[in-house]
Parts: sequence; structure tokens; C-alpha cells
Amino acid sequence: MERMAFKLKMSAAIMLILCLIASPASAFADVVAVVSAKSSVTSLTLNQLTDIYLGRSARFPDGTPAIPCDLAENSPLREEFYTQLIGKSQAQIKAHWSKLIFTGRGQPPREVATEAGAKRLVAEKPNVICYIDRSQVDRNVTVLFPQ
Amino acid sequence: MRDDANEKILKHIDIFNSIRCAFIAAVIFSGATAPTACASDDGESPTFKLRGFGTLGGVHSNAKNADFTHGPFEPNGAGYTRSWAMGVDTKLGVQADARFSDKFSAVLQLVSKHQYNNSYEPSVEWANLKYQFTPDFDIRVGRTVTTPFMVSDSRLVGYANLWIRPPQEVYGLLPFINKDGVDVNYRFGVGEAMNMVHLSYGEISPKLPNSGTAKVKNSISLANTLDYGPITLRASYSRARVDLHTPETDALFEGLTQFGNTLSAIPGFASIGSQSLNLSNKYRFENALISFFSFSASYDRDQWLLMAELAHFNGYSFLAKSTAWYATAGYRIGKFTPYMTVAQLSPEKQSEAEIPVTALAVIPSLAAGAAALNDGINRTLTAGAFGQKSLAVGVRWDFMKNIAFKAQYDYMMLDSTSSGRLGNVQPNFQPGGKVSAVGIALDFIF
Repeated sequence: MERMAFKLKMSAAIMLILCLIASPASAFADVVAVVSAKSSVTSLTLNQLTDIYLGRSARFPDGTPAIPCDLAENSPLREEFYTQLIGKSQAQIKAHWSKLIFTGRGQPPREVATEAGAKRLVAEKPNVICYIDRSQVDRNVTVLFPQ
Repeated sequence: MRDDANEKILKHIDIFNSIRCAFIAAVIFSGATAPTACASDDGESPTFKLRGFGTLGGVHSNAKNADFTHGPFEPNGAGYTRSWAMGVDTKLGVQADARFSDKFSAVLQLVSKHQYNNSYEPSVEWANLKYQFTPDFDIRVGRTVTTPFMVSDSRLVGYANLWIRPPQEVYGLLPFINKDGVDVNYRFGVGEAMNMVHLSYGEISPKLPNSGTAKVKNSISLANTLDYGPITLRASYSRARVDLHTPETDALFEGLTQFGNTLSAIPGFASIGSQSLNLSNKYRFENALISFFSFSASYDRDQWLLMAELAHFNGYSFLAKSTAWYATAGYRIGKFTPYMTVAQLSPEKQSEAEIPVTALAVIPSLAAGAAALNDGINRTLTAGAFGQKSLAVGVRWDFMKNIAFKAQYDYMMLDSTSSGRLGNVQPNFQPGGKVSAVGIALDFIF
């Protein structure tokens, strides 16, 4: 009986560790990338999301225009989105955009002051993609990543 | 010659005027306010933004009878001229971006850095009008910076890069990268990867220290960049017709021509005379075709930043064919990113059959002249074959918003017959040897 419990505990621990190793994003992050429920886009891969947020692509996979939006610079959710999903710190993101701005290749995403504002913008405009806390997801928005 | 220069100036004034008008229009359209709140910005209303970047840096080098510089455009640096030099890395750039509609925009970037005439006079780095046909296809007309290397167009934006300055073994191969002309960018998806094609055409006439001049004509560059998640792969090809003049090489070629003409007129010496004339024609840097290709790769995600580039320069005359590469690895630990770079520049050494001095021994003044010209040719060919290896270690510290502090140590092993990438080389410079440089820099954006 005791051995059984130990085995269970062990396998639970191993599962947890595997989860942490395999997908740190989904294990920690409550932040999700969303579009309007009216959008034809229903999911993105991590690479596609990264391309849109780093200015490499201005389209969703189906070819419709994609306009990314950012929360304000001091927002913890913004920090979480970039470190956990995109794999870059705020300083790295700044360095990345300064590379594009000062070579005339692009402008960083528009900024929205609050999460509520971001959600409203997404709901209104089918081309806009933003990130919000998973707890804020409702029927007006579709979660693109992580699913 | 003067008319040509005037025409150039007029052309620049034209560009300035059109951009100035465009900016004024943009300011009026946007109600003279900087639109920083973007929630209402649909990408359709005109906007105007003023931003900048800069580096405050100092370098110390133990180079003897030569200077550690940022490249062939810098007249002096650290080592021979002074122990600590601010000019190698210090610079300030200001950029105005104007967007008139979702398709039409303009950019003007002025950069002040230590330049050929020992001043910090601002120069135009970027000045172009861009038309964005689709989100994936644009054409720019005016001055742009081409991208023979991975970060050549952002090489001055210290904040955007990990190092204090790009590895000079590779980036020094093609220092003429501004261009007045046209460039086209087109990108498309390939499965989960994004592919960007960049094509440019144009010309530029940069000035060099010590009255040197260069004229780059019919310059064509093609680059292809593939981004797949954190991986970037890149290939580029460039070619151009180049005139290159320095007082020393002009004097040498002029000397060969005069010597050849003199000898040709003397019975019995005509063949030596034509040999001298041939040498002058062979090495004269006029309308010379040079070409260049490179391959690069990088990986950038989470803690790791890895970069490597390999480049081959198909030179002409005294600028030797050269191959160069570097590899950089950086590892992020919180706000600190220690990094290391190894780099190598290998020229194909050239030599030339000498004008026969002994055949001229009967006329000692001619023999002495031939000996001096032989010496000049060999010195020039040797000096144009730059070679060095280096190891650099450094750290970037993102200690506060929009500002990074960097410290970097470079250890260079110069090729035994070369001054490597050192500049302001003095006549009594001893080729070869080892040189080190220590640099600190504050990189910022605003």
C-alpha cells in the first residue's frame, strides 16, 4: 500500500517535471494570444505568433492582415507574454525593434494602456491580435495560442 | 569633375527638400502632435516620429605606430594617436519617420560619428521615400544602407547588437554600404518559415581620410533571409564598379606611367618601358569590378544568442581577394549577457614580377627609379592584403530601460606581413605581432 502511494507520488512528480521541461509556456503562463471571435483565424503555431510579434509577418496564416498590439511597457502581462511565449526579455524586444526602426524596416506594435482596452480593441477589430490573461477569455475572443 | 560634384549636391538638396516638405506636411496633417497613443491609430492616419540612438564609448589600445579604429573611414583612433580614443565607438543618430498613409512613408536619419576629416559633422545615413505596395512588398527610393552582412544596416545602433562593434574581420570587407538608389523588399511564407528577398541598386561616393576618394557605381546587392522561429539563415551577393584613389597609390601609378614613357623613348629600353606601363594599367583602381558573397546563420531564443558569418571578397588590384568568418556566442544571465567572438580574415597574398633593375644598371638614375617603383608595388600589394585573427570577450549589461553598458576586450593576432584591421598605419609600423584593445560603451535609444 505504502509502496503504491510512493509509486503514485513518484509518477506524479515525474509527470510534473516532464510538464515543466516539455512545455514551460503552458505550465506557467496564464497569458494567451487572442483575436476577435469574428476572425476566421482559430489557431496559431508558436512560430507564427513569434513572426507576427517580431514584425516578420503582417499576415495570419490564411493571408488576412494581422495587426499586433502590446500592453503598456510596465505591464506584468506584457513581460510574461514575451519571456514565456516569445522567449525574449523586454530589453531583447527593445533591441530587436531598435534594429527594425533604425533601418526603416518596421514599427513596433501599437500600445494599449490596459488589458480591458486590449480586449475591447480585439473584439472590435478582426485583424487585431493581442494577449490577455486566460481568466479574461470570454465568447467575444478566440484563443490562438497556447491552445 | 566640379560639375559632377555640383550635380551630386543638387541631387541631395532635392532629396532633402522633398523629404522636408513631406515632413512638414506630415506634421500639419497630424496636428503637430506626436501620436504616441496608438489605440486610435489604424495605420491609416499620418504620423510623425522622432527617435534616436547613440553610443558613448572609449577604447584603449596598445597598438604601436598604428591605431585601432572603427574602419577605413576613421582617420585616427587608439594606439599611436592617443591612449584612449572616444571616436572609435561614440556616435549619435537621430531619425525622423513620417507616414503619410498606410502605403507611403519617409525616413531621414542623420548620424554624427568620427569621420574621415577628423570631425563629427553629421552625415545622412538614411534618406528615402518608401511605398508599401502590400504588407509584404515595398520599394524605397533615396539613400538606403545595403545588407551584405547580417547586421550591416544596424551596425551603428549599438543598442540593437550584442557586441560594442561588429567583428571587423568580416564587416571591414565591405565598408561602402550606403547607397543612393532604389531597393526592393519582398517577403513570403515558406511553410512555417518567413523568407525575405532584398534587392538594391545604386551608387555612392564616400570620402576617405588623407584625401582618399572612392566612387562606387552600378552597385547591386541581393540578399535572402529565412527566419524560422529562433533560427535565421541568410545569403547575400553584391557587386559594383569601383574607383579608388589614395595619394600614395595615385603617386605610384603615376610614377609607373612616367617611368614607362621615359623608358619607351630610349632605344633598347622599350620593352622594360612597356612593362612599367602595363603594371600601371594593371593595378590602377578605375572602374574595377569587385564582388562579394556571404552566408550567415543565427540562433536567438531564451538564454542563447549564437551568430556566425562567412564571407568572401573578390577584390581587385591592391585590395586582395579575402575570406573572413566569425562566430559569436552569448549567454544571457538575467540582465547580463557575457559573450565571446572568434574571427579570422585571410587574404590571398599577391606578388608581382619586378621591373628588371640590373638591365638598367648602365643608367644609375633609372635603376634607382626602378628599384623605388618595385618597392612601391610590393609594399602596396602587401599592405592591401589585410590579415588577422582575433578573440573577443565581453559583457552586455541591460542595467536600465533603453540603456545598455558594455565592456569588451579584443585580442588581435596580425598576419606577419600585415597591419590587419588597424588604421592610420605609420611608415615605421612593424607588420604582424599582437595587439589588444579594451573598450567600454554606453548604448542608448530614445
